Amino acid sequence: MKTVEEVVLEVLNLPLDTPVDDNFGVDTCEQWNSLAQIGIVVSMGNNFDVSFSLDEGMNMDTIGGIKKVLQGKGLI
Amino acid sequence: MNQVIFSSTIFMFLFLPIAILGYFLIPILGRLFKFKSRTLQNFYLVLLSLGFYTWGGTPRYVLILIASIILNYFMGRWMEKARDQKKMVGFVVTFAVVANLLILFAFKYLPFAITNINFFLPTDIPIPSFPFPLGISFFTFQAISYIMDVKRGRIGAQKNFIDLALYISFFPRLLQGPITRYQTMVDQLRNRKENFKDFSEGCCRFVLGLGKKVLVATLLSDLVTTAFTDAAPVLSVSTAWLGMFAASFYIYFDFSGYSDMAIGLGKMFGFTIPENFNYPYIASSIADYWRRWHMTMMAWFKDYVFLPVAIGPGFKYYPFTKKIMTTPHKIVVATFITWACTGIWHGASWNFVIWGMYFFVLMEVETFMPKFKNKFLNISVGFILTQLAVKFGQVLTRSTDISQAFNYYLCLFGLKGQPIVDDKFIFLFNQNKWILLVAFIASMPTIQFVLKRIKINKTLQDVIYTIWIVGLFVISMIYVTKNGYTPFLYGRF
Repeated sequence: MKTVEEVVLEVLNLPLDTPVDDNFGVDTCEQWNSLAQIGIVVSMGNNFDVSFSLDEGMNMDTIGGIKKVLQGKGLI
Repeated sequence: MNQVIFSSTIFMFLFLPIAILGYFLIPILGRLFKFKSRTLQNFYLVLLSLGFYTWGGTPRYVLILIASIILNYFMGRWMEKARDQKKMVGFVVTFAVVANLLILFAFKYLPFAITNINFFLPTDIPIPSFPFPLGISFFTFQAISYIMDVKRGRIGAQKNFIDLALYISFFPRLLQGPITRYQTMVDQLRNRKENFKDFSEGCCRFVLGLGKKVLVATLLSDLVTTAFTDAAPVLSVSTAWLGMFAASFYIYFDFSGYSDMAIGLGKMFGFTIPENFNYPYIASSIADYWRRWHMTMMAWFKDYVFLPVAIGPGFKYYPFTKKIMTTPHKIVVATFITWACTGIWHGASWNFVIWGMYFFVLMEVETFMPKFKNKFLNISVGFILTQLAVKFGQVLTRSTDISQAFNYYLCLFGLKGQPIVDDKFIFLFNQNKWILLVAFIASMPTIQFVLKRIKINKTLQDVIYTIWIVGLFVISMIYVTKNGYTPFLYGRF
């Protein structure tokens, strides 16, 4: 299973050694646009074998936000 | 009506000085008489905003604004109390969003809806006629943003009624945006910091917007009006093209000028209002254009329409089947719905609906367009095609109805048998060539381009900038006092 960071960087088509932190997201990364956000939600669902509600999907717009949602589901 | 428009003398020399003096006097009084000044400052801004709305539009419509504030305040509080009951939260959100949209529908879309019912059905329902409430599309979107952000649980409901009233009604962005999302503004309602640097930057930004409106948009308005009211067989091909480009510059300088003034006013009072434009006329793709034009509206539609449709459970299956919809297809559905909403949001007429669909088609076509291997060629061809497509689209929004727009398109391509060039074109071109040149240069990041290449020391830069702003203000004021004010185009949205 890939880490949250790996899934995000893969969807954004960025090198896997790109430095990211919990604030990395829609406001700080140019590639993280609305289409990428959908890709991230879908890829996270496939990677962690889980589905997300609309509110969870909407809150997954930073790495920190994604981790919080996954923590809430007891997945990380 | 419309006396308190930003570029009017009554706003700049009466309303604004009173607003600023009172606002900065409150903390001084607070220190003298030992009371917390922020609540009073916010209350003062709310009063000013309601006064601004009453004075600027149809006075009785201020009741709609107040009703919207009260409705959303209590809905937010109710949602907060029912936070653990999922079904109740769902009910409150649905109720609040529907109520907000109903207000918008009743005052903006009802005459359009009845006209169409009467056209398509054998009915003769009387069409209500009343003046359009200014800014209703903008403050309704602000209110829906509040409800949705509270629902998503990132922030709590606003306990302070005054603060929520200020968020919805803050006068700089009340009539034409920029549309601010609640989650980006909530902290500023209490914890903003006013200082001289921001205040002076705010003043400069206001003057810049004033210049855009008064010295470019207003000066182009005669040419645009001539082209679009004379869109008949007499309009030569060249005049039609000239009118289309002038209309494009006009709407950009009118709306971005207003946004600059709103951002500058916000800064004077310690608020950071998000940017609305980022040189849209250098965009080299349709998607790029919409990342640069009316950015706050697009962000709103992305957060509250596009992503919920694409991510949410609403479109899980293909219609009439139990087959799960693939993500690319969901994205097409979400794009379609977003553009349908964007079109109708801009105005209650069919040309806006078609305009929305036009951009939906362009966005989809762009996804499948082959790209050149050469980057320069890619950007150049993309730039030309995008800018032409945008300007063709603006003909729809500038025209009063579809038939006028259709007529204009015929003129553009010489399909009405009219001449390529006529005396009217030569006259209009000679009369407007300099302002068109200024508009072209100012719509590009020309100053940034020059500053990158020429090294000027900071002090000299500051001196030039100060002279530029003072000069711009003086010349703008000469035009304002001479010509009076002209309303902003986006006010009708």
